Amino acid sequence: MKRIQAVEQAAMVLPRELRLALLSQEPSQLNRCEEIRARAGRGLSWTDDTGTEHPVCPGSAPMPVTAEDLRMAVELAARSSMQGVQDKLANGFLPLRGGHRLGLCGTAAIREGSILQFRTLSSVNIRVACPVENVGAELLPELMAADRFQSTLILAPPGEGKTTLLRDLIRLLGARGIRTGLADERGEVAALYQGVPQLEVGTLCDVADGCGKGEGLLLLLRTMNPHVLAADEVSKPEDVEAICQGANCGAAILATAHGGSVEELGRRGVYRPLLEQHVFSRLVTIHRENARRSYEVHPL
Amino acid sequence: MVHLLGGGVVTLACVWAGWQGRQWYYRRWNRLNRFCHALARMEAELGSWETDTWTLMSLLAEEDEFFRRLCRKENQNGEDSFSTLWTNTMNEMSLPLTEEERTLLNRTGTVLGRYDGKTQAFLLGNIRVQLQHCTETARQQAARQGRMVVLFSLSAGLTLTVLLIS
Repeated sequence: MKRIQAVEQAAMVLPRELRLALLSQEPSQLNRCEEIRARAGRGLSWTDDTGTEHPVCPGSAPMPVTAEDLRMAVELAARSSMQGVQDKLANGFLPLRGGHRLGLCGTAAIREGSILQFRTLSSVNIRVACPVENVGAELLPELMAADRFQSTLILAPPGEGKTTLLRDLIRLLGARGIRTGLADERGEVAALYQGVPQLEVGTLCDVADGCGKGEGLLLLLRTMNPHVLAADEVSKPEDVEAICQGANCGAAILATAHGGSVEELGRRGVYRPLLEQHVFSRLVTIHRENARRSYEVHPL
Repeated sequence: MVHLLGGGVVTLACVWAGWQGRQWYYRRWNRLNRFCHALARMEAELGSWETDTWTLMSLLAEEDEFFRRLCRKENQNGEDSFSTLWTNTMNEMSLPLTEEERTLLNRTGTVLGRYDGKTQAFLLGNIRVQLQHCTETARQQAARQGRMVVLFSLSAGLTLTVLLIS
């Protein structure tokens, strides 16, 4: 799917007027769109592949956005089924058909110390998923040793392409006959829609979503006998615990985390067990210069 | 002879009009009954499985034209809110309902898909209780007023026939 088609698909959750205003942008601009943002009382904008935000101004003024527009976007994203998305709302995002994601921000309603949902929305952010294939092809041989995949951690700051690389590596592992169990908590990697992955993760990938990464990884380990366990954005102690458990059960691990370097990772207590137990033997860092990304493999 | 034939035609026309009036009451009763069944199914699905709203509507569409039309509307115009689609379908179908019953059913459109499964089931349960009351009233009206309308139209037809002959 071309990016412009992905943008059109992702924009389907916007109310009609906002969608038309966005899609009236030049095709060359839409082809670089990575995010669509709408802020109540302010306006609609899109972010290009360098991270720069551009306001959508159909006339001379920015396209106005109301809180009702944002509420409507959530209803369309949930397909009028708030009953099925309560847990996702509490996490602040909704997965969309096609693997896109609607991020939410506003006044939170709290129950028992955690976010229940949003009373009012102040902004939404649609992350446009556009899978880039073969980004991991050159990398994969360096992550293999004697035909076995070596546990790998992909490390980069947000928005650098960790998820894209993770997804492509899973697909490439499948092509080599290596079975992967993917805990896709936020539905961003495989983006299951009625059980079918919307994004290319290959034929040998079993996906657990709708539950936390920790629970998902343990479920996959119990039921799917994976060669590799994969998870995106490991950030909680229970995720780390499940990864350690998986590593001790003979499965290789492929995971991503926010961070710039191993030193930075080591300073965050939650990741310490992963480093102390030597769970990972490879580290991949991503560097971005304008729209170009480069990958570097470090042995651990 | 011509007067007699004319009288017969007038009587038949009046009885036919009365019969149509009676049918309206029965159609209303039948329609309300169907909505009651649909609401009971919605409650069960949402209470047990938290079924996705449109999956639920397509299940109901297998049995009822109203839900078939609603699903078609969603396919054609998925960018409207659920309550808008519901109200538009209600308005388009010219259902044989009173204003009070329409208002009650339109509330269903504002409840569905808006809350968690248990809350929706609870609110739908409230609407169903009121709708059952309306259904019972409609059944009684269909039996009593339906009969009265037919009798009234028959006597009106006969009176016209007598006037025509004399």
